[in-house]
Amino acid sequence: MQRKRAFWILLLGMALVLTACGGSATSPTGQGTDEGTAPQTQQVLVWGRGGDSVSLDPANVTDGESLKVTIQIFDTLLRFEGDTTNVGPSLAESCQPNQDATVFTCTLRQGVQFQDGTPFNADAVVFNFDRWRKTDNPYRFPGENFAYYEYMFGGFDNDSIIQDVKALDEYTVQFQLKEPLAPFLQNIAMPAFAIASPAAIQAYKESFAQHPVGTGPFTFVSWAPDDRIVLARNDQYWDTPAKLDQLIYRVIPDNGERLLELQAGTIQFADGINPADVSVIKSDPNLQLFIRPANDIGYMAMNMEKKPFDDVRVRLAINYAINKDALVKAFYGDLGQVANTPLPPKMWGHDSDLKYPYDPEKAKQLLAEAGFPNGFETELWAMSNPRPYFPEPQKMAEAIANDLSQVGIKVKLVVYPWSTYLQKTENGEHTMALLGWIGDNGDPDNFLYVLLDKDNAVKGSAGNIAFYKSDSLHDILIRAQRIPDQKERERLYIEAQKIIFNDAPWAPLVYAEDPVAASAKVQGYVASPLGLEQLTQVSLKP
Amino acid sequence: MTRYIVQRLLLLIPTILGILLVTFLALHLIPGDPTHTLLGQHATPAAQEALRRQLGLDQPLPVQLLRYLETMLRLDLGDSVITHRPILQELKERMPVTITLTLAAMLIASAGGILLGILAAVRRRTWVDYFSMGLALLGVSMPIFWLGLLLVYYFAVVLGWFEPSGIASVQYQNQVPAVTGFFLVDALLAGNTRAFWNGLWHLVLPAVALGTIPMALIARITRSSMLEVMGQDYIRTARAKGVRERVVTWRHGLKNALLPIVTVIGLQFGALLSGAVITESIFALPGMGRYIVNAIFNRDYPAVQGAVILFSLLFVLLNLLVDLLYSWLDPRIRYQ
Amino acid sequence: MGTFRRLLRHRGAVVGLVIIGIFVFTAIFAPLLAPYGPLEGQLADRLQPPSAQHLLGTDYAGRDLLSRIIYGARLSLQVGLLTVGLALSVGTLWGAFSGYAGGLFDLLSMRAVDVLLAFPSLLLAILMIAILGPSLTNAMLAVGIVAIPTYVRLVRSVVLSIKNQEFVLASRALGASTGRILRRHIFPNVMAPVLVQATLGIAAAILETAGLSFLGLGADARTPEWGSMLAHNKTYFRTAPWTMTYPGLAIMLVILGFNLLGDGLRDALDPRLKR
Repeated sequence: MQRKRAFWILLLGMALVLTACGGSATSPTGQGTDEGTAPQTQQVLVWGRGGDSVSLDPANVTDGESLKVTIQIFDTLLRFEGDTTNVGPSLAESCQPNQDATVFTCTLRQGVQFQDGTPFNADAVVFNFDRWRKTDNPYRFPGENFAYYEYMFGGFDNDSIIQDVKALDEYTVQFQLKEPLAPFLQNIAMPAFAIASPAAIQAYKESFAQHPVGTGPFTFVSWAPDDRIVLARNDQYWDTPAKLDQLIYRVIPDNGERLLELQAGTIQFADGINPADVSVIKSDPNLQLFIRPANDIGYMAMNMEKKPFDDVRVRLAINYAINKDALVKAFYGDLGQVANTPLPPKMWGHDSDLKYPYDPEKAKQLLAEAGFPNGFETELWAMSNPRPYFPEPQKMAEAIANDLSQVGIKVKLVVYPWSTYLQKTENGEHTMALLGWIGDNGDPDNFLYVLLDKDNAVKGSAGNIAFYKSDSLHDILIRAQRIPDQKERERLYIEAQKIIFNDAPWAPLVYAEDPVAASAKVQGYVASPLGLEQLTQVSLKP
Repeated sequence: MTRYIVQRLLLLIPTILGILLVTFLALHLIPGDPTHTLLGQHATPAAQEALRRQLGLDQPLPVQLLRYLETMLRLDLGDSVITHRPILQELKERMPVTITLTLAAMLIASAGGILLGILAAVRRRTWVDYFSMGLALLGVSMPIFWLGLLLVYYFAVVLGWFEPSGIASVQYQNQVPAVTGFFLVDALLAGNTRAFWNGLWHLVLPAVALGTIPMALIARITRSSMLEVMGQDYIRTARAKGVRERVVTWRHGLKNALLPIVTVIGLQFGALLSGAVITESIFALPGMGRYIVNAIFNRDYPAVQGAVILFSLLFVLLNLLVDLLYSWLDPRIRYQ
Repeated sequence: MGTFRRLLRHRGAVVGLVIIGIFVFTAIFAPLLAPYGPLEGQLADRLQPPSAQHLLGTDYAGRDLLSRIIYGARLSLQVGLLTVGLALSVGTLWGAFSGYAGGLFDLLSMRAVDVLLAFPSLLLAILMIAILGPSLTNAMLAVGIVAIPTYVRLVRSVVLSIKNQEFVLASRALGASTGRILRRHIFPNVMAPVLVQATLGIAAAILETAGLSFLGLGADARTPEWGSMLAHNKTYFRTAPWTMTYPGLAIMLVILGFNLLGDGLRDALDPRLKR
């Protein structure tokens, strides 16, 4: 008897759910996506993105998904302005170098408060820098690696280029460097070196990353991992306060799905757009497209420690054999430019005279001279996950393989997921490999030295995976690091690009622009080449 | 009965240990480690070395395994290598999403499947039969990611009937405080019916996408099981006694046909947990499936281990439940 | 017996056989049927909608979709048959032996199967491919291995149910060897459920491989395997939907074929249902 009853209850339950699903088709909740119950005056903006933040302590992350949120909560001493990579004042009103760029003195803005009420002053700056650079600092907690600090300033403790940070008075800070560092001001403008509230770090300790407190235009409200991060306007902001009441970052892993959400009106911004979908955005009157100027390079490195890539003729031949125009047009549409040097076109020092034209005949000739009249067999490596500079790495690799087969080079494709890929390529297991770089600080050194200097041709480091070792290039790059004068540095970098061009350790492929799709209601957004923007000026049209 | 359950639960221990060992070894066989996720291209050899030491990855494997077992004994799953948060906490946040999704998918699959199956069996060899079985076949032959995208495109964007993805609309998510972690339950607890409906509304497309394959299988098994039962003598007897056809079908037929159906439903839970991996990423649901896949790609060793153990525990317990349901449905089956 | 004749009288099974026949034919004669080579194409011709020149349009590399689907029949059938073949052969032997031998071996091997079954299958496959590296072969291997426990369980349960029946016991009493008993009595009885499971398993294998490709763990984008074509063309879901629709339809059709055959097989092997 009991069993019978349970069975009917089960059936009834099913029926209930079915009717509930059908019944509410006409209920108002069905359409309540945009307005819902929130009053019209509330400006809530939802930004859709592909992955969640790793941590909200900017000093402990290197990934864009974390930094794009922390840049709203925190300020840096200096900041990149608008759609440029120029540095302007932020928490510091000015920073002056001494004669040989070894001492920098910064005057801080007065009357600024952290979101928890802690006053911002020179002590706060010293607190933050000490936490980053000293391994015995009591506020370095387990799991904290300060990777960007180590990377940009050469290491911790005695290895750190910054030897001392002093508070000269309440609003003056002085940085003492071990050796000249020309891009120092660019470096401290990077969102990773944002000034956090010392009181909050002391209070939250290792969980500060889940309770970030800065001076920025938005304060942290909540974080539901893999789902959303909610920020609210900081009414006490020292600069013009934000126009939005709430800023929400939502994780929508699938690129296609994210665009569908944008079209459905449930989110107002979507980054990580498939270049193929740009036409969909352009033809939709409810959407608009913003483009972040290229600050990256996508390239194919040739491992010079492996035959036959030790022969410059082979490397040049490959550069002539790839039809880069067709490649870029197909996979980037209007959102990419053919690359011939490692430096992006908008960056100072970029040499636009260098060009490898598409010339398969010349490629064949060079191959014949190198002793490969019938070509050879080799591997081309690609990552399986899309990267900002390679939205479809595998398909690009295919197209390159196709081009190379025209000159007799038979290519086998090898694909690995990103972290495995990095480990294997930095160990030099590859022959030819696709890789790219996104600029950190708008300085040419961040491309040329990092990716092509012999210092970085080390097994185990993902810098120079062509294992290209040129002494003449090294001399120039080191000299350029130590000269504060930008004109002079520009001359050196042009020279450096010529050397690289002739040695051809890479086939440079593309400078990719990063598309951001938004609802047509969005106004006041300025796309930055660094891929990170404070959304202070952004608002929604009613 | 109790003895049987205790026995089964005891058998769980070696199973879990086996799973743990397999996962642990498999994870460490994968080339690459978490340093690359954490440091990306900014990984200098020195930084990697320091990080490995910090994470204890420089220790020999047996030592790492022992350390992990030790944390397990403290009923802890350790901290995530990537986010440094306790894994138990991270799983607690994601479990409700996956459970809601799988249950909803199972409900749709069972209700739809049994209905289709019975219709097909009762109207055997008519267009109803062919149509519902055709539908069922279509269901088993579409990859979830394709079906999911099509559903969202047509039903959320073109027609605007359903919500494209997520747990609920943002404003409702902000309104509902997390008590149990189950959004629908929390919405009801908060007395916010609009949020409840909104959440339910978001659940429809992902549940349909995930439920389609099991629905098809359930429909087919229901049909054949019904046909078998309806051919039995006691059904004929019932008919001969003049019992109405509807009563024959539902009360006598379905009741006796239910056993194999329950088996299939139980088995399908495992498949659903697999399907959840893809469904959650298409429909942007912050659940366990996505968590594990991300953790595997990020080499977040303790996170994968913790999640896999929880996943398999869930699966094994579900199986036990199904077995118990058996004896309840068919008193002839007794467990000792 | 008449199983085969019953199969031929089953309308669904015949339709299934015809569909599978067409695909096998396509697979064998792919080079003769396909208007272009599967890898032949230029970026300039990319993403063209269906036209007289390219009946089903072209993909992102300018390759003829029809030709790729035709060549893909080879790979996708291979995926189905090889994975199921692997799972079936290993699983049947394991299950039969375990069930027949019993004792400690049975106990231990069943615990191992429990462990494998308790893993959500896709996760196990992902782990395996993460170790071996993504490729079609490894995806097939992973999908195949993951399916083994199902067959072990299935076969073992059948073996258990018949091993103590009179005719087996009689045969043993007459001095038949274990091998002979397995061959003459056990396997014929195991065949029916295993075959049905296998036809359905082929469909599942093709879908699972597609799912792995979706996660970036399947065949590389050049390989004209349907599942990976579907996954790799997902980017063009909005702008060139035909690149997903046609490989998707091919998958659906072939799965339909195997399912119909599987149903028919079940009915034919179990005459009780046919009344």
